[in-house]
Amino acid sequence: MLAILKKDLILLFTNKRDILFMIFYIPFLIFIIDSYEPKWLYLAIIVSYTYITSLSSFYHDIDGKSKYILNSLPMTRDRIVLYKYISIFVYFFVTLVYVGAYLWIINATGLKIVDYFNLEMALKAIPIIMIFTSIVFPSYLLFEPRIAQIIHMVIFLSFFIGMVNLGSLGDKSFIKMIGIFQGNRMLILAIILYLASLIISIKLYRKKDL
Amino acid sequence: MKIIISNSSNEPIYEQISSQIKELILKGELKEGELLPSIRGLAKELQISVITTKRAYDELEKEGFIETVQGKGSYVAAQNKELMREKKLKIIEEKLSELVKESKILGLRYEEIEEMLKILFQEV
Amino acid sequence: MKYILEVNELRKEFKDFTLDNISFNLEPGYIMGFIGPNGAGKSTTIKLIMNLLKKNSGEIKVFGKDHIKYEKEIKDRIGFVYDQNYYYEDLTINQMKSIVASFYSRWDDAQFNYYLKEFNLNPKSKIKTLSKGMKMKFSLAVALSHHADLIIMDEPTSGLDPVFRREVLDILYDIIQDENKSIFFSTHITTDLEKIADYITFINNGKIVFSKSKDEIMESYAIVKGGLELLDGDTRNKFIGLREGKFGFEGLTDDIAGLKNTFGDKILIERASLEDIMVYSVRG
Repeated sequence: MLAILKKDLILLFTNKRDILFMIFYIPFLIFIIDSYEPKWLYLAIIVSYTYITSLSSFYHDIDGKSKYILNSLPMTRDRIVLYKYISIFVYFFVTLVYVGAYLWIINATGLKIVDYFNLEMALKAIPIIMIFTSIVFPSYLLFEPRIAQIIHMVIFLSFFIGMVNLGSLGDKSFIKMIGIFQGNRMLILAIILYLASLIISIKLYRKKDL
Repeated sequence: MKIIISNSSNEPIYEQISSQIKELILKGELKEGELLPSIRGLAKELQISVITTKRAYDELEKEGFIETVQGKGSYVAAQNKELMREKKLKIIEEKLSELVKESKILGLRYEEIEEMLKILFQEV
Repeated sequence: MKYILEVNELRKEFKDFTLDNISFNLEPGYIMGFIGPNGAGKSTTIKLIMNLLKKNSGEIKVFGKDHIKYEKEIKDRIGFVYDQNYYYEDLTINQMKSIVASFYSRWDDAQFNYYLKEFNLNPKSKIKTLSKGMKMKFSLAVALSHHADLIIMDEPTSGLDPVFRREVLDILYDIIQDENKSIFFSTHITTDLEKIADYITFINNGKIVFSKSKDEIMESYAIVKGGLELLDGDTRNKFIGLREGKFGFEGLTDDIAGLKNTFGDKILIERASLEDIMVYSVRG
């Protein structure tokens, strides 16, 4: 399992497309999310990075051509799915470090004042990421890649809009009003959703024709 | 030990192998008790199927030329001198009947063959 | 174990193709060639054995064990080579190796490095920089470096030059010296199989045409050539496949004795190559 995680990380920094993403997405987000509370920007970046890298690795191994290799190795399909669900946490930590360093540099150069680490937001990011992946992972197994991609975009876009909304309106924003950020409610919901998603994904992948 | 097989001959490969080994034994080039190559090793060397070499060895064993010991391999069986001579005679007979057949096709007479034999017996 | 690979009434249905209850077996210590025209079901069969596709019904046993129930321990002993490179293109050979090696209980680094040297592969090169032949060599090196007992290959030599194909055959011969190992490989390059295969399974349109020892096959089929005047409704039926030209006919038969009886020496009987058998069986 470590080998797979290692592979995912290596791929993150060797694949041209991924490298471009890693380098340019942060400035892009900074530009788009103009917030007077830097912590929302931080949240958006952490969530985006973890979500996108997790999804990309999931898609590659589950649907990309390397699925033939992974599934020919002495490893059950259940394991493959399990590792994907575990790996989002690994990506989360890698994101914290990478984004932290990146933003620290931006801060140091004085181009823009950004939060390079915010524990409160980092913790808030986890359930959000879990909820998103809970929905998107099984959709790649259930639907055609094109449809799954639409679902992914819908989710991601709504997150985005929510972030921009939050960023500009702060406490008056719609999301704050729903109050999903209240206490541990979201985390518990996320965990339940995540486990349910894991079970569903395992069941789906077991029956899938590669 | 020399075994050469022809892919284009009409004679099945396993037969080519068994007859060549037979000859080697009868000529004394393969001695009694000598270990033959393993069926797999032979298949690899000749670049043929292991089933073919196995068949050749099975034939040789049936006709009493070799003995196979489980786990050890195949050995040239003790050849009864009388039996050897009989077997060699049989081969000569087979060759002679071929010769007669060919000669008849060509339209040669017995006397012409006799002449040829006389000369050959003196030369060879 | 009696059979190293057992396929029993295997069925897989697609929209416009069905693998129709196929069965065949392979004993340890032998090489089986799996031939058939494109689209006959060779890759599908191999994917089903490796559980990459889910079967509709039927039984597949490897090393005497059900291939799904004991999937992990079975795959630990299977070396696979597929027709295309599916390894991660952006990784180097070494990186890819360390991933794969971690899964196999009997990974042999020394053996892998030996093959890298034999095949002239640079462990630091990225997989995407390798030519098609080198990618295949890499796959083969991986498949042969974990003491696998069954090597499964799906068209491994298509697109490779004859020189390298010979090298591959030599390596296969070496593997088969161990009478506990077997090799199962699909190909449409029948000349490779004519030398090395012990058994041949011929599949066409999702059905097994025959699965026999190569010797038996080569002995029971023949190419028959003769003048067109010899053909009529009855005699045409004696051929599996027939080609009528301007100057005579050429056909494939599995009833050599029968035709000899009917036509005596008015016909020419020749050894049929595996390719002849396949082509005539498919074309008719």
